[in-house]
Amino acid sequence: MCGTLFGTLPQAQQQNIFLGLPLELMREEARLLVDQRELQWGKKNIILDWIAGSNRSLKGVATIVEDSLAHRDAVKALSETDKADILSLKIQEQDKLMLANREESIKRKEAAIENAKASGKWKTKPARASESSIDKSKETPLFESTLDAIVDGVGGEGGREELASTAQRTSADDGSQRQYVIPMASSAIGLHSLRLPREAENIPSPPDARYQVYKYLQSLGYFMSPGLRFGCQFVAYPGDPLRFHSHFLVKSLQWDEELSMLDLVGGGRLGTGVKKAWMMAGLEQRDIEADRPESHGVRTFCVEWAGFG
Amino acid sequence: MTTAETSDLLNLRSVVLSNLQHQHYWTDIKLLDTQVDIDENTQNDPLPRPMIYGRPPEQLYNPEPASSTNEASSSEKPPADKEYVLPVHLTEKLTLRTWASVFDNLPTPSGAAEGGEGGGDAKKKRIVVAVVSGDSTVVYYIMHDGIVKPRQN
Repeated sequence: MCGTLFGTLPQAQQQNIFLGLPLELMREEARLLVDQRELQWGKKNIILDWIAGSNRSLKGVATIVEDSLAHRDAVKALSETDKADILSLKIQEQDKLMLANREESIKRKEAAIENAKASGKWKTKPARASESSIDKSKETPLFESTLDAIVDGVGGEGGREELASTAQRTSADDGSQRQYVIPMASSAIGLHSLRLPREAENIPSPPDARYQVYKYLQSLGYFMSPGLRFGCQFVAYPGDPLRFHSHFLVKSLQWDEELSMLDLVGGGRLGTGVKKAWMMAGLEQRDIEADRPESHGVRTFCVEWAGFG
Repeated sequence: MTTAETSDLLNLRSVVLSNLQHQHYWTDIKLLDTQVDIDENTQNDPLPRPMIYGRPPEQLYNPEPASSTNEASSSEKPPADKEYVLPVHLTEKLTLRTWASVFDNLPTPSGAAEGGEGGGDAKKKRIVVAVVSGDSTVVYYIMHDGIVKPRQN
């Protein structure tokens, strides 16, 4: 199962090799993931009654969540303490960031001064300043004190207070006047898990014939992708779609669904033209009197042009 | 099946028969009407649809060419395998049930294990579907029972 990547670039819409996230699943894929989860949990509900239980060993992986609702619930479910935790975490992060920035700028300044001294330009400035000695005495201590404050801030806990003062904040840490960095690291909030609904309400329900055929081919190791480009329901690849050409254009049918011969001819001709076979498939329904009542599986027929006529 | 329907199908078959004989040079043609025509050990029940059994002038595409080893030893081409042909009219609408019943009445091809439907390597049954249109054009398609890899892939 590989889904369909549909994140695209405006300038390369047709270059689907470049498509990236997000990933869209076909209804059949989503359904299969959900069903496998249910099977693993051993739940037996109404939906499962018409699904053959042959995949019990498979690991279940998915649950259906309605994105906007789940998001809203999760935000609502955050308690005040949670919020405070997250907020203080953000503040700490921000402070670290600011310290790092400060340090960097100081270093740059020092490097610039060193450079200037080395090239001899530095002397002209203090020379001019030495004319008024008050200026000089004011200038140097101010610069040094700032440096000391920063060094303290890196080392100790009290650094934050001083930092706040250097950043010209009136009140130290009441949070009301703080500004926050917008791009938040979501990993910090990840601890608050989503509350998942016990019974998923929006289980995708693809048409039965399609789902059965999809499930059958999937169990045989075929990779299915949507078949719009070849006028069918699925395109079946024998492996990774990036590595293999597809083999079959799949059309699923009910056991007693009538199919026009023109569809068969068209499918067969198109399939042969693109080096594939056209496949029609459906869940077999044998008569009760039939000799093998246990064979209640999907039956497939592959059509190709015969090469003449 | 009513007699009218049966005679329609027989007429259809005669169109395909003459097309196979005179346009595509098939040989050894035999008409199949009942199960006995296919396998003498079965009952004399009618086939779901009348069919044709014959030999094409050249071997039709075979997913597992059995003659690959023979070709090296003998320069003579082995005769082409005989094929089952099912005449269908373009305006017909068939269901999966019909196709399945057609295949179920065919014998398992030689080389396949008995009842080996589960075996992936077992030789699959196949027919040639002859689709006849109103102007007596006939097109031919190979249909396999089960999943068979396409020839050019």
